[in-house]
Amino acid sequence: MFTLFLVKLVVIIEILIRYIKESDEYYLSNIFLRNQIKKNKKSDNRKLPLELVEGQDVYVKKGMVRAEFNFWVGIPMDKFYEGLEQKKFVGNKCPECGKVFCPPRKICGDCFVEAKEFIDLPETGVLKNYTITNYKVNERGTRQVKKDMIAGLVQIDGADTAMFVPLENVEPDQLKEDMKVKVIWAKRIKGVPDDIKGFEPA
Amino acid sequence: MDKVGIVGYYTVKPDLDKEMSPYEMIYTAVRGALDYAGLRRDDLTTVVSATNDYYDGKTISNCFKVECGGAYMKDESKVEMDGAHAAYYGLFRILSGNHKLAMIYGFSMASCMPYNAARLYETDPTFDRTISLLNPYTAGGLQMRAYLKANGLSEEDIAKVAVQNLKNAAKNPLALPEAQMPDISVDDVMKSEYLSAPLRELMYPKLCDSTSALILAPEKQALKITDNPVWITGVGLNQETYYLGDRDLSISASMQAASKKAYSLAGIKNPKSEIDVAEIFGHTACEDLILAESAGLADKGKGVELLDTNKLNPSGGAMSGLALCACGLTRMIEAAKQIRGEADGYQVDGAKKAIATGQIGFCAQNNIIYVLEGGRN
Repeated sequence: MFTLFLVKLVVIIEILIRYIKESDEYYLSNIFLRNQIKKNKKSDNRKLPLELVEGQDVYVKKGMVRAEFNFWVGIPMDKFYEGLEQKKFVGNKCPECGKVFCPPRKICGDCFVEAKEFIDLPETGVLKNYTITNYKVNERGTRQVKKDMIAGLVQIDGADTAMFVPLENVEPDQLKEDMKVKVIWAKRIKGVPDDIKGFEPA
Repeated sequence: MDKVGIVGYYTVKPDLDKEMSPYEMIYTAVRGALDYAGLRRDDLTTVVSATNDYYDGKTISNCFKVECGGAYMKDESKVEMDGAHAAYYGLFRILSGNHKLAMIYGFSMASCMPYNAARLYETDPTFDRTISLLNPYTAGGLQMRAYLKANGLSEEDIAKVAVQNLKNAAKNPLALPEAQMPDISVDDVMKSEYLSAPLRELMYPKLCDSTSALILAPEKQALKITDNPVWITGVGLNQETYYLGDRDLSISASMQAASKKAYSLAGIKNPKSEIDVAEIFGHTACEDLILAESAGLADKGKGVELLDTNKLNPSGGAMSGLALCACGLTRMIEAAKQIRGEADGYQVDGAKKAIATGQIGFCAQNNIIYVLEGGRN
């Protein structure tokens, strides 16, 4: 009897914990800006209405909409992530024009054929273009951070397309177009985009 | 192509934070365009809007805007792109012969949306979005570096474009007040902070709340409504790849293809000399130049020379206040004003042929261009 009660209690606590955890994940989905605050609000289109949550004239209803989408990466990108698990880059080649895509693509847009031939590519590449920013954008909004981030279009050796990735261990004044770079792998490899911690000068 | 006339238009004065709800703003624009043309809502046969679900925070965002858009119990549709794309949709509805009068409007309210975050949902969910580096700032930065490198130009050259746009905006009564800078100098632009190097804050337009509306009619109908119609004589639309790593960002391949199509329809052989006014929707000052060059107004890398003429963006372009989904339509309206001689204070003398462009996507992935001409015949 007591054991049964204990099991029930544990189950109830688990449900409660799950509920609390999930409710933290809820996005603030409905923010009503009442007229008063709309008039008084200092205009800055880069600031989010989310910052007004503390204000009195703002009505926030949490968790009315919680949409979580799944995206099936498809066979070409699956091969790419499989490659990352083994610390290598995988690209695919268009059978008609011979263009090599990295990350791989399902279709070569120009030739309109499936690129089914997968090839292993090295860990090194060339920096084609770069930019330095201190604005961080996520699904909640934009914020300015102290540290500059460098990101660039890196074309893996043997590929014809570039991917937009972070650049590490380099100062902005050392950056040059067409400089050689190599990948920095994350400490724990999981077969996800985060495995590529960034690229650094080779 | 049969001629289709622009017979009415209205732009709501942009604001960083408009004291109007979306519905009031759309109603003001649609009502304004009808009043300008001397028409009634009953005369409309179709309504096409340009809004964006992510910018509106609501799916099927047009379903809520039926009444204010004048679409109640009418043939209505929406384009989730720029206002200029909605005009394309309306244009072909009229050319099909099924419609006699089309109301087009584009709307967005930047003060109520996290714009950059909404654009994050435009990125590839299986790669770019997880890394969260691609956004309007970084895309603009990459594009600008590519353009400067390919043409051996300096940041100051782009600053000059920003200066001209912001000075032009000062003359345009329908520009965003915060973007009207009659006394701005290249130094001021160069002193503004980097958004994403080499793109600076003053080379990037200020987002605002605004709505534009435009009425299209077939040739016969247009001549009944107004003595001074503006004709759409050519149009071109083109889409290139999403992947920035595949593209030469120093040019716009889609604009090259779109403008070729539009000029062939309009019978324009030498755009450099034949086009009097170019209203270009560039998402940055640099993109204005790239798109103008790709539309054949200047040789590659020589877009800065357009600044010596008064051809490029007499209204200030997107830098005069960027109302997303409305901006391309506003460019069409501004070009039409120039042709009709209504641009009080910023009129280009003898403007007969104009182009207006709209776009969507990172680094202007998709471009649309219109050739507009005046005259009764």
